[in-house]
Amino acid sequence: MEERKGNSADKTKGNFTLGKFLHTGRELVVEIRASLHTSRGKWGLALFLFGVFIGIHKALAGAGLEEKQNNLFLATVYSTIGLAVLSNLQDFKLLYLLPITRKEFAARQMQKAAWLCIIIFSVITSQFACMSLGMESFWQNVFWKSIPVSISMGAYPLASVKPVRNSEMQGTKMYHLSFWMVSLDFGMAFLNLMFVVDSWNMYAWILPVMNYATCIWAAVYFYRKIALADVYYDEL
Amino acid sequence: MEPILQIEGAGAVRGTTFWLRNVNLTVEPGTFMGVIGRNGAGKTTLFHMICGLSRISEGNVRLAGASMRHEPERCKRQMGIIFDDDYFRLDLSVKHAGIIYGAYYERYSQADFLNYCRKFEVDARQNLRKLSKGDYMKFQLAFALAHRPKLILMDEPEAGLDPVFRREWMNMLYDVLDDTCGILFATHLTEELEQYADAVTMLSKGRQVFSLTMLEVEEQYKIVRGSKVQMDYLSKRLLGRRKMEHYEEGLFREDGKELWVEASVSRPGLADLMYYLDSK
Repeated sequence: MEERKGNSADKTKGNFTLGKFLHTGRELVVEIRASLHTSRGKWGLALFLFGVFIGIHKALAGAGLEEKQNNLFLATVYSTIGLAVLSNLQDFKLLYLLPITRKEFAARQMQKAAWLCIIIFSVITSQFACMSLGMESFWQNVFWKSIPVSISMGAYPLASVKPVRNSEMQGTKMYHLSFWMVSLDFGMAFLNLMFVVDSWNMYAWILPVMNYATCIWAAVYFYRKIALADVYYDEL
Repeated sequence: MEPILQIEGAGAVRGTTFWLRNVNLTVEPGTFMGVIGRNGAGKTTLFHMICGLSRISEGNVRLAGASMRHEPERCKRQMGIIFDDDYFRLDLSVKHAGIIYGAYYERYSQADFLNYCRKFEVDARQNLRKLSKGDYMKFQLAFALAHRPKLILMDEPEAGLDPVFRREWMNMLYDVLDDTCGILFATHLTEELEQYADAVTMLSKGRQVFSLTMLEVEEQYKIVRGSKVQMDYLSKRLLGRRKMEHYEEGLFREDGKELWVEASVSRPGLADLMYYLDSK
């Protein structure tokens, strides 16, 4: 009975609430745990941990800044792809069968993206922390690199959501960020990540500011594309 | 009492083609209604329209008073769905699938879900992918019942199941049916429907042929058997006719008039109705 009351109370609030955010996190943990039963999930976890390991290992190894930059880029790519494989967020027919509005579904997807951002943010930031950059440079990189890059990367697993199995092959990409949008968003994130900043001057700002702009644009675009889609399952 | 499901002149259009046209049916509480028809008759489209997978192009579908066109979320909360295909994420265990998807339903209870799983002998720790087809159906039924739906929709879930399980399945459904809940069941298993269903709707080529209670079907349709001469005499009143080895057989609709021939008259099975009303 209490459980029923809890569910009922949860439904009456808005789409972006702490309760729903925490519930989405729990959902993500269960989904990741479930993915580990599959070989795909195990490969995803291995790739994610490999990215974390080589990122931190090279950062601690005392290599030159350029090598660290390249390594940061590669390690983040591995971790992100691993995470995307691990948290297989594909929702097929179920999206249409669950008693939720499109906006509610879109909000839940965005909350999942936020959780993924937090994980990727932690991975990148821990590498910066191990680079012995100095306090000021560390915070510069957290602000200019970790935050926008993790927002861009967090959208990647969501961009691969397919409403219908094999819909990509049939040419239906209802919830997909368009190819150009994905290229712009991730391309900008990778470019931004390629150069570690060590000053607050304008040149160091350009890429991060553009990255902030594209990642926020992509997030809003993605949310709107899910929430405002007026397409039924049978029309896909 | 308010009907659980009320479909008023509903139709579905895809592009310029009508997939379903002018369907009218009502499911009362405590009723088990079967939907029959040949492949491509529109059964799945009807179910898709009811559960929100297909757009309702004309008419309306009302579930416990709520309109599927205007309040789809409210309607979906009242529905338990059992489909042949796997629409749940199969990586999840039975228990975790309950936790994740149950959270979307107001009246869902995980304790009830686990109780139903025990009752139906479904291992809650088992991965959905590893469940047998029968167990997967039982899982879907347990999940549906745990959120207390008013309507249980089943679209040919019994395909590929052995006859013993099919009978057990129907018994199970009959046990869970109560005065607050109705069942709409699309199937090709006409024998099972004859035993269990209270009402039946027949579709043919995207149109509704009839929607009647089993009693009305018995009263309105009759099978008549006789010689060729007798059947020729009745031919204008027959809806369909076929030649057997030693006699001929036909279906006619009761119109209150006498037959005027010494032919044997019997109750038609649902398969007979499908054959005579929907064959070439």
